[in-house]
Amino acid sequence: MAVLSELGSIASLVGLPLSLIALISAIYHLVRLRGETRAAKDAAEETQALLRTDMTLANLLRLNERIQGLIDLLRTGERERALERFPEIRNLFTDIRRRHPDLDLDHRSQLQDAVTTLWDIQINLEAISGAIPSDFRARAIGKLTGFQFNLIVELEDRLGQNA
Amino acid sequence: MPGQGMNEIVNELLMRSKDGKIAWKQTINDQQFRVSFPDVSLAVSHYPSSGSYQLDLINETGSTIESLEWNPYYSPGQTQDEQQGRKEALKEIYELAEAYVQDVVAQRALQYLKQA
Repeated sequence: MAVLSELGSIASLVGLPLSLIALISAIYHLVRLRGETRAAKDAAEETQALLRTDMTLANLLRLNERIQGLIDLLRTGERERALERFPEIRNLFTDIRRRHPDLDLDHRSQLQDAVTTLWDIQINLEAISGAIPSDFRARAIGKLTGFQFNLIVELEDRLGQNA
Repeated sequence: MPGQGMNEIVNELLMRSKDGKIAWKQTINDQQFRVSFPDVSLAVSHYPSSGSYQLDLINETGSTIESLEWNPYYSPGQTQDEQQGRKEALKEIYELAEAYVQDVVAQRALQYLKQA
């Protein structure tokens, strides 16, 4: 009986460090796993940010093309076809603002101004019957060209820095 | 009270415009100036044919959601003093916006001339 008790004590003494080692090993693996999970999460977020930037840069390119298309239609006086272009262009501007809430106040204000200006041009164009007056056409093209050469270029630079 | 927010906007806008803090821009329309913030715009207009002035509050999609107007022929529910106050405030905002835009253009021209 005494022998058994002694053997039990020895087993306990041997088991204790083993349990301790197992516990330390489990904690180590848990910490490593957490680190890997965080690294994976960071990498996923980074990839998402890059994808978002890529999509925005692609949208800016498309926006530039659509605005040029609208300018061409205004130049040739194709009022009806020009009117069809406004919603998509407005949505592209709105989409950039939605995707990048971290843009600075100035750029967000410029995007807001662009959306409002597009409404203005559209409403005025809808009210015109017959040929588009040359002074209106010049002012509208001036505003649209301003978006191409100022706002879009600035946004490309600003968002391209994040890529 | 409906329109109370617009009255406050008029007062604040007038004060800030007097300080030259509002970056007004000419719109596609001759007698209209606008300032845009990240998700809202304000546009002040003058209609010479009726002599009226109007301030529009524009949301993030570009739609006008509220307006405040002074019209010499139609100002329902307003006392003589309220009418006069609204007219003077809107007219002053409009004139300050016009002066701001003219000044920006003049400064730009001056800058080009100095660089020439």
